[in-house]
Amino acid sequence: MSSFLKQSLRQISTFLVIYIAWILFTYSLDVQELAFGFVVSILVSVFIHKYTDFKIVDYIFNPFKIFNIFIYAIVFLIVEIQSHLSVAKAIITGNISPAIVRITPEFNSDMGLVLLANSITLTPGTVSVSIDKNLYVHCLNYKKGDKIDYFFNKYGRRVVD
Amino acid sequence: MISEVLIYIAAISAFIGAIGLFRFKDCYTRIHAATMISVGGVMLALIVLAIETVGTVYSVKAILIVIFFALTNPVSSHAIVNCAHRMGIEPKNLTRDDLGHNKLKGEV
Amino acid sequence: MILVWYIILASAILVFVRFLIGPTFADRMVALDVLGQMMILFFVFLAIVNSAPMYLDIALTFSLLLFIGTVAVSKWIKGKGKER
Repeated sequence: MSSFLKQSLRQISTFLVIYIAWILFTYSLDVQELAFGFVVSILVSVFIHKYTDFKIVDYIFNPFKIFNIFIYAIVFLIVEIQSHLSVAKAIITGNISPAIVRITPEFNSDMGLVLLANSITLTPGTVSVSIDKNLYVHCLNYKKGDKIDYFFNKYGRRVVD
Repeated sequence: MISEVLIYIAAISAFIGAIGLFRFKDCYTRIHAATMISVGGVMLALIVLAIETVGTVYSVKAILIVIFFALTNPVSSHAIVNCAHRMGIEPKNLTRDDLGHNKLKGEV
Repeated sequence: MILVWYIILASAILVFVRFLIGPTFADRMVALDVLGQMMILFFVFLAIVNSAPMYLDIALTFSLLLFIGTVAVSKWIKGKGKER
């Protein structure tokens, strides 16, 4: 019974996020649009929970986690600007030293791996090539002893776990 | 005033990315320039649009497009790089290789 | 403000040349992806400069189609490479 309650809570929270996104995109409160969005959101949330184990309720509707997500976003923004400037310098001057480096993720869940890989790929200068429990990252300017994961392991662990 | 400066920053960032895409030697390094265009060009321009039209429908829509872009752009660029890796295209001038491109060629 | 269009035009020409001469498949795929992003950037600039934000809908649709197309084509080519 408790497991069933948890499952239905997850499904309802996914439905709510999709429905709010629908309302923001259409930006009207007509009965027609609301009803159609309701049906479509139910279908999509049922589809998501049948084929994946997506637990958005553990991340979104938790005030402590939201604070951690905010800190993660600020760290991500600073890292983004720094690596942007360094890649622009590398393009103009033309001296690069590419390498493929293994990163060991410090998460237990798949969601943490997705967060780490997406953040690493979204910063210019590093792109994730292949995954088998470890993450193989191609980076543009590698010097010996560099930290490639830019503190994403440290701050992402607070968000996910 | 500040939005004009930001628009010029976005355009120049896209231009530097295009130079990098033209100039680099293999596809693994070209991906970095492509990321620079998509983040420094498109997402910055969308944020400028959201600042300019603040308080209307289009501001909300621009922020939603930024979130959507941030979720989907890594997936597509990872798909391209993983495809190149599976096809057996080798990166050039590596200073360190943990993946072992020459060994993996036959099996994966 | 008219300088922006020339910058965008020059970078799109550079990317298109890379699409034409790219030696391998992955280079062409990257160039095609970036050309689509240049298109989105063009529409967003059009919306900012003319202060006509309804161009944003075109940008949204284009980004959706670009994502689906890039992922589908690279998955398909990856499967082809496995067969050989």
